[in-house]
Amino acid sequence: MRNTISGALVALTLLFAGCVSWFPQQGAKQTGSAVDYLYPDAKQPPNLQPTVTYIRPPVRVGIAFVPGGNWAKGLTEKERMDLLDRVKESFSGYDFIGGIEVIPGEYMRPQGGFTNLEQVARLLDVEVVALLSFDQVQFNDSNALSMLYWTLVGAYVIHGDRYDIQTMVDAAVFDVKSHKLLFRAAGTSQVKGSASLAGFNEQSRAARTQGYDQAVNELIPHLKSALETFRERIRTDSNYRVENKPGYSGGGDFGAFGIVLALILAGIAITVRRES
Amino acid sequence: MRTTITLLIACGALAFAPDSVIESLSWDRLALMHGEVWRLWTGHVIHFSSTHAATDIFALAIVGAIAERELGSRAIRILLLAGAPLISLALVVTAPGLAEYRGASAIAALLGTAAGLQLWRRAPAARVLLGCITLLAIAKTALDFTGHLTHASSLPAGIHVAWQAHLAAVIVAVTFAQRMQSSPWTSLPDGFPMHLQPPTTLTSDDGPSRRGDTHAHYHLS
Repeated sequence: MRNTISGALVALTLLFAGCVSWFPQQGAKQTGSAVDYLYPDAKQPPNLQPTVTYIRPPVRVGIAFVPGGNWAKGLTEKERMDLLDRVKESFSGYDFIGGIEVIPGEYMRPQGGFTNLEQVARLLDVEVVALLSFDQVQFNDSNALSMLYWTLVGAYVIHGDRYDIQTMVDAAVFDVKSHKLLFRAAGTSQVKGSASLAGFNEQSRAARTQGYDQAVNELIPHLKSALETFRERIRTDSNYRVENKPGYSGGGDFGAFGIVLALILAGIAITVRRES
Repeated sequence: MRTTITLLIACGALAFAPDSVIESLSWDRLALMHGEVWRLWTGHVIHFSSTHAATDIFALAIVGAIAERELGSRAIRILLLAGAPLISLALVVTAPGLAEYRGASAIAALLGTAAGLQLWRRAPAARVLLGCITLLAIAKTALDFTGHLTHASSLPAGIHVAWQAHLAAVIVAVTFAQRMQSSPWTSLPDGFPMHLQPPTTLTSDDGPSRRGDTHAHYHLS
């Protein structure tokens, strides 16, 4: 009898332990950092000298994903291309941006630093690079209802597990020559939900995609706004100087302002003539 | 008005010229270095787009009419023939990165400044207004330099305002005005403006004049 009870306890223990292995992980993290890429193994802050950054419109812009980390595994190729296209679109339509190049991921070396960035910029003839990075953290918790998973049926119908997914998509725009961060913009999101044990993986995966989409939707207007702010800032900030590119085309333009001056001069000439 | 009208017709006709013609006439640094000197003049009568041409032609019509009336046809012909290449050469020196230039605004600025200086001389009462125009013109050049007037520009995207051309035009016009005061070449029998007053600034060797009197000989005293 004692052996039977002992056997049953062992069996139950093994069964429970097995059930525990079904439970979702405690969380997940996907991260890619522009800082890790540009300043690998940096133990001291970068020694940036105060220099004047020259902006020579029309500026050629490159867009790239930050290499390294495990974040890229969390995105499908379609999602990556969609993000690149949307960022590219947000840079287009400005006369001071001459061209936008998508930098292939193969050209970006993990922890390559500015050396790698300069090589790629020279290769593709871009002066400014927008580095896209993506951080997503998923927290998983069980609630009181998860007790009902022991009924087995509950594992399919009871939402005993909760997830909290926090996402940040960041675009940092660097001047390659001066290594200066020109501007940055970020989009964030938080998606919370619950799922049954059996459907947890599927639902949390969908929630991660949803969180990513929300963050990107927030990033794009922020990026446009940051670009406009930067455009205004370089006109007044002495750290930036706008110069014409060697070989630029120039036009004599009287413009609306000049025409107003010409009309005032005509008015004076007519008045003087009448009086004389 | 013949000179101004001729200039306007040239600008208008060339606005619709084939690209090959336009490219052979534009101010092009490399082509100039290879001896294509006609570009020193022709670069001022061609444009980057029809909008650019229309804006410059409109401005040129206004200031050309004033200048021709104030200074006479012959004077503005001399001013244009001598001033246009000087402005072009000034661009070679002052805008080393400039590869190509088109536009009539510099010669419009040249004629406008010359006309303004003549009005300044003969109408002291208008000097306050003329001074205001000068300040506004300086402000426009400063805004062109800093790029704050791009939204009011008629230039296509990617083409920058060559403000150096306007500045050179003003300098040439001021020099011309000074020369005009002291040089006998300003004897202007051909289309010389009959209203040019006051008499204290002009003397007539041949007595009272009338329009079209080609024998009247004037010079600035």
